[in-house]
Amino acid sequence: MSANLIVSAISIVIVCVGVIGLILKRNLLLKLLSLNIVNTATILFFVLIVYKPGDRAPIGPVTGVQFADPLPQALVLTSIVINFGVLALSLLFTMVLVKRYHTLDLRKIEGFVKREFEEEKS
Amino acid sequence: MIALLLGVGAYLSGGILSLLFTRHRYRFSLLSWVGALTGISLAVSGFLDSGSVVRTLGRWGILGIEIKIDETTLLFAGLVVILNFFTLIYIRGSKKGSFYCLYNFLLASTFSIAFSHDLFNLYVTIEFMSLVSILLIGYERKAYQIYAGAKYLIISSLAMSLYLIGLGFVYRVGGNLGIRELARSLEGIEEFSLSLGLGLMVAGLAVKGGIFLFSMWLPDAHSYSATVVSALLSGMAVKSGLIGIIRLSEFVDLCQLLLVLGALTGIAGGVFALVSHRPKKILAHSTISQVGYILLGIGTGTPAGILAASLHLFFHGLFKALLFLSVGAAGIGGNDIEGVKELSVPWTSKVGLLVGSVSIMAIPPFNKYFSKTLLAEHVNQEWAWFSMLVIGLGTALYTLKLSWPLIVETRTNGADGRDIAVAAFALAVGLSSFLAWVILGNAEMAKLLSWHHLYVYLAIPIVGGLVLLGFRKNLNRLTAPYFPFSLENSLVSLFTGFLVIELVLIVF
Repeated sequence: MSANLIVSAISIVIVCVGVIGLILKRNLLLKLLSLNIVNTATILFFVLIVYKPGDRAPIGPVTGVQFADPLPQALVLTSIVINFGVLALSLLFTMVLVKRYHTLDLRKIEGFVKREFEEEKS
Repeated sequence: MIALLLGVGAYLSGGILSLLFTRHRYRFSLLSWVGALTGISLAVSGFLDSGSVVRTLGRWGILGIEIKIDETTLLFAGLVVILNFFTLIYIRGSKKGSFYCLYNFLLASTFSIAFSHDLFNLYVTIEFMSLVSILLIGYERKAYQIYAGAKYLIISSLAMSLYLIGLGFVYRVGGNLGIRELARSLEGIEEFSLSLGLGLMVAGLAVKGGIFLFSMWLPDAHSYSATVVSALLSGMAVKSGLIGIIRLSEFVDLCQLLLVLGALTGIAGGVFALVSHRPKKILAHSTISQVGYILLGIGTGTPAGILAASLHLFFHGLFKALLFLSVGAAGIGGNDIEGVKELSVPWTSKVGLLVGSVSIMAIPPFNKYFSKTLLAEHVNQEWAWFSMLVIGLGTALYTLKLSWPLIVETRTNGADGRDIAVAAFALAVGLSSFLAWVILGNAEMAKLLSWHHLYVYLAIPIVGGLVLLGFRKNLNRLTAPYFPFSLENSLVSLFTGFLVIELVLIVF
């Protein structure tokens, strides 16, 4: 078993840690941090699983060298940018909710939101 | 190829221009609609000439992005363009420039999803679509909208991470991202890591596609947002995940899994719609139940079944958007359905509700009848056909529960400018059955309209009406539990659903 496979297995474990945090933490901010752990570990996993031993960076006019596949690189860069956008947007939403209800506890927010909707519509 | 660039370019530039020149936002949006219409007509004429084609975008050979033009593409892109027109005249003069910008971006992303035939391109466009739709959900900055948006954001971001992990497994085995190339390189390969990866990808797309156990964010997000946004999300944004699943089923056999998920989704969505009390909530749950039919169509695994699924996807987009717009134009989307007796509803909304309801109940001359009977002809398993009957009965029950009080028990009102858009849309939805005739041809239509089908599909709404007549009081006393739809429980149910997927994929 190569070191590569072991590290990609570890990254799957990190994904699971993030998911557990996402489900069990009641604090909205900690939930977002767990989400970010999941996303980052996913990228780590993707980089490792498509890596082939002996790959070289595709720089310079060297012939006869096995170049790294450019597709996963483009993919990983794009998904890093998307994760940044998701994190920024979710922090903005958290800010709005906290300004409104002065709590980060998700169950309390859920209760407030439901009550407010009922009151507005009746 | 030119069709895709024209459509997406028109929408993106229309969005940016309507943000920059706020005064002319309506005109710019109309112009970008014209651009997209030109694009889709070019695609249709190309399709009539040479049938379905797969092309590679860019001059990088195998590294380029694959696009495909077939019936599914054209129906979905056509749905985007039609919904764009009617929602645009509905919101005329009532929203800010930034709303128009996001609106055009949403259309751009869904338009490009229709053409996408590349697993990574699907990931990017779907992620773009969901970011824009989250901004649109929270656009009015009411706390419940923000909360629904945040819930959607967290679940969908997690789902796309699952999709990316699955993509890693598939890429390791297949060595490609374009679906045509993948279909070649994956032929005959059966590996555990491949089925694990496919399960993860299906789970990720299912979260976007409104499949029960995965899309528990959907009822809140679709019922709390503004009317136009609900119409667009339910009409087309949800379908992007299903387009992804159609594309996946092109290179791998998912039939049994999709039949199981379809039956589950259709029945569970119907049950939740039946015990909801607010019109928009009922419509949101009904979207889940209608997705069941589409999954059953994809699950047949035959080209005819996928055509039926695409037709149903198209028709569902039309009538669901019409129902949302009619309820929203009357301003009763959030009211309790039992307390509507003192309210007055414009006549256009009543017409829209009537056309939408008979369409969704699949009563013959209306559009859904044709896609549903086509589906029933091609569903090849007895239990799947039986589950179609159950879903149909559920649909009839909740539709009658929704529209009977709104049409009959309220007072009728005059209509103003915005309501005329609803009436025009109702007319278009009524006429859309002709499209089924154009696509399917005379012989197929005669087969679909035979007594053999008519008996069954006329009986279902009648039985539904009789049941409702007897048990309406009892039905109104039931209320839908909220706990399955809270954030934590929807995450848990996502993973339960993922386990179901893996189980089905490994057992069959």
